[in-house]
Amino acid sequence: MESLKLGGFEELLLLCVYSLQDEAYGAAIQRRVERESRRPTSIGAVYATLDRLERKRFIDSWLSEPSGLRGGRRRRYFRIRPLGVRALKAVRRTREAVWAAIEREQA
Amino acid sequence: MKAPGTSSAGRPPRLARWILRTLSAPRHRETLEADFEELFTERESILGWRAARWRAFCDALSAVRTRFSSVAGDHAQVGPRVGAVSREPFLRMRAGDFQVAARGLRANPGLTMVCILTLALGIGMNTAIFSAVYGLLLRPLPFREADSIVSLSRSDRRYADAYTNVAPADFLDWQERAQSLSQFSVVEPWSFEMLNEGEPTYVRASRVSASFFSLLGVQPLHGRLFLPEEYQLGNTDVVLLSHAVWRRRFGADPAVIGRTLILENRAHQVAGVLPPAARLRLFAQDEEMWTPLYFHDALRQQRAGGSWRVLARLKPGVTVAAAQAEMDTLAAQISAEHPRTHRDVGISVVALHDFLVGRARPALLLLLAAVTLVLFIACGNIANLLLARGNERQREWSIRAALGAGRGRLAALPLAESMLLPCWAGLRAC
Repeated sequence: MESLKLGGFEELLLLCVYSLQDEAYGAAIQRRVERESRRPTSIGAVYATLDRLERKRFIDSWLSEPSGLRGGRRRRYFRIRPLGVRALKAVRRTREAVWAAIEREQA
Repeated sequence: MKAPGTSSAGRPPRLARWILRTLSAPRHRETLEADFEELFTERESILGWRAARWRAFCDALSAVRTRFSSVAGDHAQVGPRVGAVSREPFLRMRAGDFQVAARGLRANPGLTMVCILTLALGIGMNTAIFSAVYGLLLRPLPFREADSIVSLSRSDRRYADAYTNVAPADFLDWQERAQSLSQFSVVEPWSFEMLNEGEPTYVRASRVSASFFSLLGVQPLHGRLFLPEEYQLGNTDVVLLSHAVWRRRFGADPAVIGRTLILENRAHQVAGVLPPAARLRLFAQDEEMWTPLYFHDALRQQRAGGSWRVLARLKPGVTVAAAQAEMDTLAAQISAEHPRTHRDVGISVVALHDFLVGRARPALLLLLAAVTLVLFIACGNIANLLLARGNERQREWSIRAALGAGRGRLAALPLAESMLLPCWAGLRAC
C-alpha cells in the first residue's frame, strides 16, 4: 500500500498543481503558492518539493515544446495523479474530522 | 539606480543566474532558469528592480540549498535561516564534508603539497626519534621482574664517582654481606677467536656466573642453559649462542645444538640458543656467545682491577635507595678493611634499566624535544598557510552562510581539510 503522507508545504503545492490544471508549470505554481500562502516562496524550494511529490507518485511532469516565449526555452508542466488526489482528500478528511470534533466540544 | 554590468534589462543579476545555472539540479536547469527569469521580469514590473534583484538572489541561493539539502522542501523558505543557527549543534560533520575538502585540496595542489611535505617531514622525524626513545627509554626490559634488577658498580670518588668495573674479591664480599639483595650475578666481557672453516673469526662473548640466567628469567630458545657442574673447573667449555649469531653464522639451524666449535683452540660444545630478547648490551655491544665463569682461587683474592659487571635483585619491599644505603655502609666497612686499595671507593646501586640507558637519556630526550619543536613549527607554518587561504575564501564562506550554513557547518569544512592533511602526510611519512 502506497503512503499518502503529505507535509504542509507539499499539500499546498499539490493543491496549487491541482487547481492550475493544464497551466501548472514552475513559475505559475510559485506565483499561486505565494498568492495563496501570502509568504515569499523561492522557485528552488518549489522545484525541490515538486521533485519529491513526483518521487511519491503524487504528480507527474513533462516538458513542453519550445516556443517563442521565454527565449525558446521549454516549460516543465506538472499534473496531479489519482494517488495525489487521494492524498489530498485524506488530508482534508483528517482536518475536517478534527475541526468537527473541535466544534462539537465547543458547542 | 541599476548597478552597471550586474544584469541586463529584464533579466536577473548575472551572479544569481550563474549560481542557479551552475548549482541547480541538472534535470531542472533549463526550466528552472526560464521560470526564474519569468518571475524576475514580473517582479521587476511590480516591485521594482532593486526588490526583484534581492528576491532573485534569495531564489538562487535557496535553489542551491535545496539542491544540497536532503531535507529541503517542507522546511524550505526564502533567505538565510537566521533563527536556525542558534539551534544547530556546534559541529555537524558529514562524509560529504571530507569529499568537498578533498576536492578543495586537490584543486590547490601547490599549497596541499607544501602542507603535506612539511607535515610528513615533521611526523617522520618524530616517529623515528620516538621509536628510538620508546625502544630505549620507555619499553620495559624483557626480563622477569626487571624493575627489581639492579646493577652494582664500584664508584671511585677520586675520579668523580665514575663507575668502574668490579674486582672479584669485592663481588664475593658484597654477595656474602648484603642483606637487601639476592641472586648476585656477575658478567665478564670475554672474546674468542673462533675457527670457522679454517678462518679465524673474532667473537664477542660474556662469561657469566651460575645465577645469571635465573636472575634475568631467560629460557633458551633451543637446547638448554648451563648445568651447575659446567661452572666448575674443567667443565666450562660450553657456550650458549645469541639468537643473532645463531641466525647469521649458523643459518638458524636447530641442529647446531651439541655441535663442537673451536674457540681459542679448544673444543666448545654448543649447549643452546637464547631468544632474541636476551640482549643485555652491558658492554656496549651485543653479546654473541655466553660461557660459564669459574671462580678459581686466584680470582677470589683479586681486589684490584677486574672488569666484572655485577647484577642482583632487590629483595621484596626493598627500594634502590635502601639498597644504596646498605651498600654505602658496606663500602665503608670494606674501605676500612682494605685502606690501601679501597680508600675513597664506594658502591653504586642503579636500577638496571637506568644503568643501560642512563647515559643516553638526556641526549634522547633533547633530540625528542627538538623534533617535537620542529613539528610544532611545521604545524604553525601550515596554520598560517591555511589561514591565508581562509582569507581568500571569504566569498565562499559568505555564500555558505547565506545558504543557511550555521557555525557548525561552516567549521566542518576547514576541520575536514585539517584532518585530511595530516592523514595524507602520515601516509607519506610512512
